[in-house]
Amino acid sequence: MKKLIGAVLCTLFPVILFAGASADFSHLKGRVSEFTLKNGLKFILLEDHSVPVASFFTYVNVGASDESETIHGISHVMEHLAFKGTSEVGTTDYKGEKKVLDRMESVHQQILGERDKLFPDQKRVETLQKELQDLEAQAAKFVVPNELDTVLKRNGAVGLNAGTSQDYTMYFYSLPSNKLELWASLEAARFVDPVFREFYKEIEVIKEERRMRTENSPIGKLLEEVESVSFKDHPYKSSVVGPMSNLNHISVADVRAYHRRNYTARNMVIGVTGDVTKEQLQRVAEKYFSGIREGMRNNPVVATETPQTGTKEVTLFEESQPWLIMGYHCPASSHRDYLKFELLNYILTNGRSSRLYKKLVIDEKSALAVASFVGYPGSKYPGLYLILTIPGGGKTNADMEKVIFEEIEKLVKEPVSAEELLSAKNRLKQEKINTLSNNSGLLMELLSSEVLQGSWSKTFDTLEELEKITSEDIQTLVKGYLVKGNLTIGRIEKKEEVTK
Amino acid sequence: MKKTVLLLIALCLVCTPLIFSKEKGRSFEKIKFPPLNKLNLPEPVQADLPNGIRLRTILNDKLPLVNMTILVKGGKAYESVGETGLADTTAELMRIGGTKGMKPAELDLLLDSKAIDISIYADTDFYVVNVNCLKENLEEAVSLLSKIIREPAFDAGKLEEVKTKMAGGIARRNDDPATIMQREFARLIYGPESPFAAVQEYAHLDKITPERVEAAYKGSFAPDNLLWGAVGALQMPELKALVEKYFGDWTGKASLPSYPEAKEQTADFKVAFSEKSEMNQTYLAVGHLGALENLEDKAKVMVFNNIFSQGMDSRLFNKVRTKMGLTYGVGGGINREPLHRGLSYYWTFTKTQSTLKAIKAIFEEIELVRKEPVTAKELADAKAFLLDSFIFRYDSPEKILQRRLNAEFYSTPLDADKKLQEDVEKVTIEDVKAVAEKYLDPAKMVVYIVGKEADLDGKLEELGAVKKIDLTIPPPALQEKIPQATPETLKQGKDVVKRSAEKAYKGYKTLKSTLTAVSTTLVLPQGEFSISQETTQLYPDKSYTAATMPFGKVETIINGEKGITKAMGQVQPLPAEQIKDQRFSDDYNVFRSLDLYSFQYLKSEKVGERECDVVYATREKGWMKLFFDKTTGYILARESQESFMGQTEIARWEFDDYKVVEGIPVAYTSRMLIKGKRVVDGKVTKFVVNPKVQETLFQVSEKK
Repeated sequence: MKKLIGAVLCTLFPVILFAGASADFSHLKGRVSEFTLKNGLKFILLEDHSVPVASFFTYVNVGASDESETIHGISHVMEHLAFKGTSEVGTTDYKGEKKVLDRMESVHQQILGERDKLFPDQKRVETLQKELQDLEAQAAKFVVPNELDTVLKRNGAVGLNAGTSQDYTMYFYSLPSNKLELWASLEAARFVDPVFREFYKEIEVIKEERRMRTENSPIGKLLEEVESVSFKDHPYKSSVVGPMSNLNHISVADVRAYHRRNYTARNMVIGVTGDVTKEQLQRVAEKYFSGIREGMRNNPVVATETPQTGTKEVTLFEESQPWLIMGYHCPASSHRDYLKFELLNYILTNGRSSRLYKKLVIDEKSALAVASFVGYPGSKYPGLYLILTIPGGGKTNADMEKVIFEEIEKLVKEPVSAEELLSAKNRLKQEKINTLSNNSGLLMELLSSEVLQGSWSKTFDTLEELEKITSEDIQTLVKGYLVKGNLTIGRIEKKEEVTK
Repeated sequence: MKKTVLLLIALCLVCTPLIFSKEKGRSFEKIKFPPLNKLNLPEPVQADLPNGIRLRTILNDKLPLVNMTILVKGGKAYESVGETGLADTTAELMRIGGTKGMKPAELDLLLDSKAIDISIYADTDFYVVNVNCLKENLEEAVSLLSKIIREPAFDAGKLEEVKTKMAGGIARRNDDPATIMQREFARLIYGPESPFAAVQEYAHLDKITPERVEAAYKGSFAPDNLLWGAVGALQMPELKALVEKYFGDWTGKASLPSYPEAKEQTADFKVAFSEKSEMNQTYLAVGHLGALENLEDKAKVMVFNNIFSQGMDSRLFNKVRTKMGLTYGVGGGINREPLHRGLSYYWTFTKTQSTLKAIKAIFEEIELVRKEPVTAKELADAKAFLLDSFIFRYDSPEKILQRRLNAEFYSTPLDADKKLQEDVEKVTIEDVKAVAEKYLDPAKMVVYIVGKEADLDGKLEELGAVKKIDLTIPPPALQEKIPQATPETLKQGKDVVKRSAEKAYKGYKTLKSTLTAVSTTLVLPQGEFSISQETTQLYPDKSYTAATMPFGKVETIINGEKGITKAMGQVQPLPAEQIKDQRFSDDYNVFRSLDLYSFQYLKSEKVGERECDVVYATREKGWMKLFFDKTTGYILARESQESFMGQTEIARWEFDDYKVVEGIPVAYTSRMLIKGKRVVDGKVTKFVVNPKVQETLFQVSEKK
């Protein structure tokens, strides 16, 4: 009887769901246009002429999951090197500089060749390293450091940055919109004519980044461990930064080969938003980006994770208070269940009335915070659904685990009520609408949908799909995915001295 | 407003050709840029209600959303010494503590179901109330907001939730090195009692009561103190009508203590250091107290900061990251605050072995920029960036509204931005040098480092006088308040103990030595660990314990005031405090030196099924609570502050299975609980009274 009522109520409630919202998306959709150059490079434009600014996003379809073992970390290295300039930007005399750079490469290859031997000649390595250092000092004389930044900034650029994930590498910044052609010229040059100068120093910088993000951060360490434990076949098992040993071994030749293979027209999408018309963008696109090699769109990674049939656990002992992560294998963002997981976030942890927040933070006061996240460490391929809690009030990770299992069990036994489902839907909808209201946020969603789901227009279908999700769908989701055989538990426990 | 627009366009046009006329002629330098399109800056609409509420709106009807921000004067700057956290608590409790008409859970449910997001937090100079909702729920949002702001309930149970979260935050404050660096550096510069740097301790939590929260709330939340901005699918007439409907009859005036001043601290050190041994990087800050913001030289300081420390092409970034490869991040600046002196400092993090190198590089750059003028190119580039990117301050209605609210709050003239651009244009090389000389004083700068001292690339003393900063978090105070002792309770307490001494523990009178073997189980998150140990006590002040641990044997020897532990081939001295604590709580001493203790009778309480007299025993500094069985006189429980697994906790020992061995009562079963959880189980396996003892057993030497 209850089930029947539930079904009936579900069809009544959509009326109360935010009606107004859907109407405006045709207006947003109408501001999006696209075109593709002859070399296969696709452009997506989201127009907004209210302010004379424009934001640019270059989305390269390569990430850490595309890397082979020995050069793991190279996507991120490439990201750093993309700021080092070209044969025109960042140097006082490229001809002279190139001679020194070529010599440095050759010396470095010799160093690697010697170090890789079973019995390396240490003295020879030291001599070569001294030679490399001297060449570095020579090369430095040609360098105009960070000139790309200088040139862009004196033309009003803000937000110059980039990011590497498991699934993609993205470069972005904003400019006053009348500088459109400057962007086109410099951005295309970065991919057609990059010069990997200051390579060895930049590797040192990346090492410091690894130390900061992972080695000196308990939660950073834990996430890296959870990845490596929960995945054994799929490249999601390895971190984006890569191990120190790889950072000590990657060469300029590796980066050049990697760049040639992945930074091609068919393997990138460029997004632009702001005060730019399609005609203006097409003109500069054809003029500057036609020179990018056509190449090929990367094939998906071959490895598929073997389904887990038990619980995996990793516990770190750190100088830190406890943390708990429960990771369940979940589908990729192209799968129809992905959106249901986003909705589950609002049922489980987001909002004071959500199940785990209410139970742990409010009622028991045993957690300081709870959170959940779908698609970790990536969403191009099946990733993890994470539930994270921070125990407090003298409670332990074991206490958190017990409650989480109990709450999952409740969701398995009984579908969520219509009110609860509606509340979660309204809040997820609110989140989506907030994203749509920000041009850069919306553009990133469009790029993501384009690459991961085949079409940018799928972004606008989300709200419609959300409305169709039922309580039974959520119950089936939990029953299917949030099971112990699919679980990896990651914990941080405070390092104890076992002596008094 | 029109003037602003025209000026902006004019400046953009002026700057562009100026730069490119000087260049060599690389491909991108030959591009001719069209003029910048007209910028139509929406101007906030203003309306002030009779009761003082000030409303500001900007229309943005692209989507049916509304975002509101209310600034309320008050916040952390107004906290008194010892009340750190009161502002945060007030903000949080207003939101989660329910209202006079609505229970907390009811309000939470309603807000969530309608996706109305209301949050309140405390900043230094003001509280911020944020509301995000769909247009169709606007009236409901304003209605609920009025209840939260006008009649918060400050539910006591919710106060406990807030305090639990805060206590958790205190416990975790040393887990992240960046947080440690910012916190401790601010404390060094502002002083530990300044509200601009005060750190919350457990002791402060005790002082936060519903009454204090209500007082803080009343001081700030009044109609004449609300600066209310809204941007989205709404216009002023609609907002005004709603605010009049739900807030129109609200009266009252805010009343705040005077704003505190930031005072210069005299430093008797050049470098302060905190040990965090597990790190392979150090986090560091270099700087001193800054100045108050002033509009006179704001442009000059902006240009200087841009050249020296902000952005990828700044001096510090170029040197410490790009050229030397020492870090992934370096930054900071001359930071001035509108109402109090800010911090002028520079920070970075680097592998431990390049710490001193990085610090020296930073100081070199500071000296250089004070000594030598910057180049014409650096100046031109900085000015071009600041002027050409100015438009990004206004690239959304949300940003425009935020800037407006801030300007009004701090009484900044509304045309300050226009003047700023004019001033940036006028900045010279001499101005930049003058800023460096005026606002940076390397002699006054102190360094703060957190990391592992043993791995540094040199000695801290190389930088100057050293001060060590201990990061240990002061433990929470005693949970129960002990009432003032009176002559009656002192006598009563002493009588209880005397009775016990004569009736149950008289064997101690002739006790010379004991041998005890105990099997102990430690219950830890990692699992259960069994330890067996054997202790030989030669009274009054010698003991030898041999413990068998999972990793090997550990010996603890106490001889008078000295003590050592021997484990895995290492000898460590025992801290004097630990020896004192042990002696203090030993039954032998309790019953044989009654006059050295003060025994205050507290109450009757059951331990298990047995009625006990509870006595509070103190001696010089230490304390413990003893629970004497009213019938047998045996000690059934003992509570005291103990250091357990790196934390200081209140430990409760419970004793059971008493047997009398040659006149000495021995509890064959014992357990230790912390916060009600069993962490240690003990079982006595052997007990010998007055065994023969070799004095050499208690030799305390440094040899292995």
